[in-house]
Amino acid sequence: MTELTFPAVLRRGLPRARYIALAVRLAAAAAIAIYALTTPGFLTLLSANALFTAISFVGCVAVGMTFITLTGNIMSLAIGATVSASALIFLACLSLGILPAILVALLFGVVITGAQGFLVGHLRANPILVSVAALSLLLGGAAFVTGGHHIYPSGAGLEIFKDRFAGIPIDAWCFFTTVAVGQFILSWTRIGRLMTMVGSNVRAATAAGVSTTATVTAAYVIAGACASISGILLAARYGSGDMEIGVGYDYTAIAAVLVGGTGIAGGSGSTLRTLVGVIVISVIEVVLLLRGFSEQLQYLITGLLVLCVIMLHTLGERR
Amino acid sequence: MRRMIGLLALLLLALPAGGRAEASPQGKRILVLATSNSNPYIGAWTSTFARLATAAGMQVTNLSANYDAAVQSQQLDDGLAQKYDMIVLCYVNDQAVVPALTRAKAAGIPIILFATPMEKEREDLWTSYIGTENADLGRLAGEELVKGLAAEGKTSAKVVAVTGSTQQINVKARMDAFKAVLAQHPGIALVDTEDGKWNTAVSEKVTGQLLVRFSGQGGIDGIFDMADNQATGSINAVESAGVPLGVANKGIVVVGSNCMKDGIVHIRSGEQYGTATQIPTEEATFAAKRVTAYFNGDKLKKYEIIPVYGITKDNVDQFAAGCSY
Repeated sequence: MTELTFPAVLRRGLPRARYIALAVRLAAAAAIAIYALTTPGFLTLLSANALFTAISFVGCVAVGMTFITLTGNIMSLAIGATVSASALIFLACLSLGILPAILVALLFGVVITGAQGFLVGHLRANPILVSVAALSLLLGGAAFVTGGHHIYPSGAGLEIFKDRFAGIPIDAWCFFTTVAVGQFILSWTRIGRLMTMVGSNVRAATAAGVSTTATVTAAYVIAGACASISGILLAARYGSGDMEIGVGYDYTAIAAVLVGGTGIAGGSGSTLRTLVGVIVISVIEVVLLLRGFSEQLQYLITGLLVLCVIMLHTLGERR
Repeated sequence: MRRMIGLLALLLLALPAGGRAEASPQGKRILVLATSNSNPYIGAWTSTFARLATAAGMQVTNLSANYDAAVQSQQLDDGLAQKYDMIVLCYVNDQAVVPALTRAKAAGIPIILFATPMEKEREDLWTSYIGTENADLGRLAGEELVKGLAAEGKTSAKVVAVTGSTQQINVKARMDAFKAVLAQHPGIALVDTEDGKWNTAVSEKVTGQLLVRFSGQGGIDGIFDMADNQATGSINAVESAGVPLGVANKGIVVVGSNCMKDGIVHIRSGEQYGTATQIPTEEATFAAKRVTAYFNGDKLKKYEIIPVYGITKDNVDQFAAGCSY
């Protein structure tokens, strides 16, 4: 009898929990906003420019990671290395011209990450293990080819990436464009809706005749392209590259994806949510720095706040 | 019985042969364990060392832990099990390697540290540190920053430091020496220290926000970036903010503390005032020589220190090639 009634109580209680979670989430967002807006210097053009540039690189990676998470494959640990390797390839190919260099770097990211997607989608291989293997291959291959050395531009033309349009850095425009294109794919294309379907229930999707191989591979292809965009932007901004330039981007990206509210189990999420996640994490970091918190406290508070936001989302997502 | 006598005879023959091998680097097996060969500094160091040690007759195995302390501990234990003649180590985490180093000491396998030494209280666990003195790098950065500010006619100034990963011993040593220099110039105040994690993009982000934070207080006069790639990030941030940069513009003075090609370019253009030599190929060459000498019977000092030099516009050509690794 108890076994029959307890879940019913739980079912009745959960909607309330969702409203409470939503209320706490809104209150937290309001608190962060008020704290940020009252921080001296935060509402200045100088701060906004610095913030825009800072979020662009990891933001592109996070948009790509959203597709991997959405299809129920959590994350790829090789994305940071793909960013680095794309940067190196872009710089090495600059002698061919800026456009060919961009295309080669994009092709590299698409092929390397798409291959992981194929293995995950077709063979149902564990996505984390596949990404660990890809990470080792990328690091080993890059060390073999470059000998661990810095790579410098083999041609000119990087200046265009340092321009501004409407006062906003080109890097930031690239990021916003990836968010918009990503959202368009998810909301308005068949493959985007299939990704959500596969992430929701892979068995149901397969039974419905959806090709999980093509769908998951497509998600990884987009993630690879986004990682390459980030690598190209980094290489262009700093005029050099090495395999450490993208270190840690995979972890920061998945944090932004989860803070934005994309479900870690897949099936729900959007690149607009990821945009919010990237901004929330960056604003917290910037506000703590502007208010003069010690480095230790910055790490501690940022970590705690990110954890709280993810927990609130998890509570809100429960049915 | 005959077999036993045969074995004993073989053993007796082998002993003097082993004794002869001790006094020569020929055939010695060296295990080089690095944090990550993807790091340009470490990559250049390990590849140079491997090339020179191999040329001297040693057999070098180079493994990378990709910043995974557990992986490196396992690699150390594997090296002990395979009875290498020497382990050359750039550790990921000084605490994590202690048990393996204790076992290495018990097994009598010499440990050579490079890039970063360990705390004094653990000196008994390793044979020698071969590399630069991090305190010297911090001191040179401090002296160059003071000179750069003086060139602008400033005796009072607000400076910030954008460091490498703050939990590392070498970072602490550089910062302590940097602060000691500033302490001799009471007008120059270190108003903030932020962790740039040795990363260019992080350093740009941090510098951008520091510029905002101090813009209402007269701005920043100088920036100490612990590595030249970080200085590139700070220079980008200053230029993006439209704040004057370099002595010629009476703007922010940026200094680094280990040279890279970016730094050389920026010093020549006047965007960066100075940096210091910490050249991996030179360090590895010196290390290979000392290791060869060790196997030839020389004793290694606890600290085999390579002198460092400050680099400014005046002497940049002298170090440009070495710093472009």
